Amino acid sequence: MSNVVSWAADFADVLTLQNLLLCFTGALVGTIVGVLPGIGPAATLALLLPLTFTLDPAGALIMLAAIYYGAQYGSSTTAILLNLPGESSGVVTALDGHRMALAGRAGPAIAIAALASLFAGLASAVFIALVAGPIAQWSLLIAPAGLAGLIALGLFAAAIIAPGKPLAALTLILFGACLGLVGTDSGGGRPRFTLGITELRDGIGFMPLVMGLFAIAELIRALESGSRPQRIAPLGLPWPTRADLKAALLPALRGTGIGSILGVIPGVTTVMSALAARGLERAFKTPDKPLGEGAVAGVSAPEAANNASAQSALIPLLTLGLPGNPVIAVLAGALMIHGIAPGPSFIDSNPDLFAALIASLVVGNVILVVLNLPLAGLWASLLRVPFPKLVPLIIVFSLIGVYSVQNSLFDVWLMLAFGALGWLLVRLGLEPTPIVLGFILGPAFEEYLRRTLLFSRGDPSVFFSDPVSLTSIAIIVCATAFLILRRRYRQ
Amino acid sequence: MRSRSSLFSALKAPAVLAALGLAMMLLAYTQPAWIDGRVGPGLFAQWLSKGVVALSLLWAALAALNPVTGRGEGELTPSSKPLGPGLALLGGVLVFVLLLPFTGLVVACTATALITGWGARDRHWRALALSGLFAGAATLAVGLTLLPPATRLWPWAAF
Repeated sequence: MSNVVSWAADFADVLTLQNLLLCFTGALVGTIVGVLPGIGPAATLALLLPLTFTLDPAGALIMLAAIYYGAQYGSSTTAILLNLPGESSGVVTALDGHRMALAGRAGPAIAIAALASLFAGLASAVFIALVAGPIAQWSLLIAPAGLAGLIALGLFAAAIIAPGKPLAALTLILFGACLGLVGTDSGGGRPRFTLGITELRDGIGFMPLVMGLFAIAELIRALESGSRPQRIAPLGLPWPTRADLKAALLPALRGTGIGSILGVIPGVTTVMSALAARGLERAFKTPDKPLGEGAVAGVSAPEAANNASAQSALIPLLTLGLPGNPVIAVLAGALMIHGIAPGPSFIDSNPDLFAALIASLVVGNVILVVLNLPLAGLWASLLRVPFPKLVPLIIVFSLIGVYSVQNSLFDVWLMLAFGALGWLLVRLGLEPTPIVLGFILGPAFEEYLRRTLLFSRGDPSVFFSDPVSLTSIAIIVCATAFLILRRRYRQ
Repeated sequence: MRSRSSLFSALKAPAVLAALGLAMMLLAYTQPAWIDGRVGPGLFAQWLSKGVVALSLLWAALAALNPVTGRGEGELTPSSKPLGPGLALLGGVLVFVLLLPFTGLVVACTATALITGWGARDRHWRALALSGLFAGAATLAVGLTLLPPATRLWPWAAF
């Protein structure tokens, strides 16, 4: 009880006018950029990261979280109005949402999406507040070998569910981990992978990496695909009828439950949660229309699952330091830039920051609804701005962002190099996002590995005697065997 | 029997990653794996880079043996698109890096906006000029309000 009271007090402390404004600004700009098709949440976070540089850690965390779920939310508007999701999870919403829009019910569809997201957002914020603390306490008891095993398991899970195929994703994750090792070795202080370049002794900056891989490569991909909306469905009044609300309630509840649970599992993406929620709805009778023909449940369930999953994906990051998907990896990198190190001791050492995050989730979700219902028409009109007009501005702001971190031209050179690499990967049909996961987790994995081998005096059998590590290895081996057998069976 | 071009297409991606992994591996072997019985800077780097090479080769082997799709693991879409937009965007960034030390932020950003706007197929000179002017004005606004005072905005000075 005392914990709840102290948490409520922390919660009230962080709700200052400045933090509310930061939350509002983050949700607003996150939605604006998230609405633009071709720019997903990871790229949105990377692009808007420089906005937080001048803030204190709590303010930066609040704004980054607001940008994160603002970007997640923005994609549903385009999915409903244009059948053109800003990011992958919007694909599931589009199946019924766009049908509703074509039937002249775009307004109610957007309202249902907003209200389902709000409900799921508030419920999963409470879920995080209740669950994250105990998990963090438990994770403090895990030995370095176990933590190394958990990281390996997280990377493996991320590789399995990454876009494309697991083998390609795993290779890119390992390559990203190699990039994460560039710089001075933390054990002996020797330069590693630096090619004699002094600037690389501090390692590769996170900003040049994500700006190159996401901002430049994603823009090139969007320009090359050239998919721009031809016709925007008329919006109508963005408010649902009583029958709509009744039809949306239970699917939203089920979607929230599924999304909250699946989101905790490293590697599970929002689109998987949305798909699972929609799949579950097939078992129930929809009161209005069948699924796929403009059913309200086809909007509320995946939107609730999407938002709940996006938020509960923060749990493994905050408690284990384990970003389960590329978007969370970008968020983790952004937090590290602000000197916030997510991991087992994060909640205990930074109760104020944890309260700030929960406050941001609660307040930000309310702001999103207040913002998005009346402004849905404005978001739709944003889509009418020709993409070629936006490209120079996005590039210029990315460059200013990268350059201004350290006033370093070398960082811009790095951004150029990673932009070229990202473009190369895109042209080869590969998704560059796993590189970021490896980049973030590689150094942490090495650190736990080093500690384990130090304590065991170089004996690697400790990985098989530690229960957490052994379980992780067993899961990886079983899952690999399953994937190979399934592949053979299909052939 | 698959054609030579489809085999080449299937092997491109793993070959590129194998080359990157090999480069990393060569660098990793310049570092000691163990120092006085302790983990050295090279151990994990060697494991990882060997992993990249091994997985790339496995991927290439699977792609070469795959008779159905003719494509390698992980390929989402084959790319036969024009190089123009990509070259223009990267060229814009390159121009920024080259100009910045001499012209300051405003001119470098304006030039970058012109090049990237052109690359984004915004080809009418008036539209392009407007994009350049807008980008320059936005850079000036950001430079005067958010960036450190020492930031060089113009060729001659900070302000």
